[in-house]
Amino acid sequence: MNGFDYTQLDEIIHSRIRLAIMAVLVGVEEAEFTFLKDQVNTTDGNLSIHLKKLDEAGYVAAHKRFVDRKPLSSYKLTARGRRAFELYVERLEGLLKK
Amino acid sequence: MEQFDARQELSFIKKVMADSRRVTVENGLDYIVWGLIVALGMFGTFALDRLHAAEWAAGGWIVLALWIAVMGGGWVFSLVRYLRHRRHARVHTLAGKMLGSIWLACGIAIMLLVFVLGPLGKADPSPAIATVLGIGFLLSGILMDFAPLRWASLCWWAGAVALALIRPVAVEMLVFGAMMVAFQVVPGIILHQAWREGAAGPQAERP
Repeated sequence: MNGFDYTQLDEIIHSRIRLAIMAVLVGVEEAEFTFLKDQVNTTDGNLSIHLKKLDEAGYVAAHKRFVDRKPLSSYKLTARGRRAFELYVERLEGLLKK
Repeated sequence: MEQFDARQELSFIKKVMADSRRVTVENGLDYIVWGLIVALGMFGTFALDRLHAAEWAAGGWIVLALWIAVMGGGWVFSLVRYLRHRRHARVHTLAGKMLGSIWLACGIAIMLLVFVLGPLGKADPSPAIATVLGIGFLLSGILMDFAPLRWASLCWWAGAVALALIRPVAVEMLVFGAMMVAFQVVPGIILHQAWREGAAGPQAERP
């Protein structure tokens, strides 16, 4: 195979916002929703939709708790998500070497 | 075109990771405050010696009270920071947990040296404390990938040897105070500046 096969790229990660979420979470143990929102620079609704997709794919795990009676959601990368992110980066680097 | 897109994608990933790292960076405040607190204790001890406090009634207690006050103040500062962080931090990192554990272990070791092993004559506190600080600085420097802290560890170990040789004890205190400023407060300020500029690479979790 000479050219790069785009189907090798994980479609779930291959979206700017989801990729940004994964890139933030790969460097931390756990991050709150508001932290992710600031880092990814998007709206609450948009972030929620993308986090849900990542959650459904098993790439992130949500943890909900209450602080001062206010609900707080934290997210962390799962082992599966970390592996998927590493594979995604590996394939991008592979593409550059071609 | 494909190569260009992949490069952009990788650059984007690196940028997002660097941006989040900048937010989660250790800001150096603990180093600065603890360094100043301990230096204050050292200079205070030297000053009390020069004022011949040992000859006063309860002179020895004044020195002990000074150390209880400065160390107690430091622990209160750290406790408040920890509680605030636990409650309000929006992000947690493994490196942050490890850094906290390293400095907690160093702090306990230093307390034992100052208040137990030193008074019992089982250890020479100042060189032993400098050795412990060298360990803390080296591990922190490696975890944060921050060279000034790694260099500070070498300075602390060299200082430990110097402190073992310096006498009388009052002068040792004076030198130790100066070392605190040079090897802890100054690296703390450099770290703080790097944090402000977003140039440092540590992934700690302190606010």
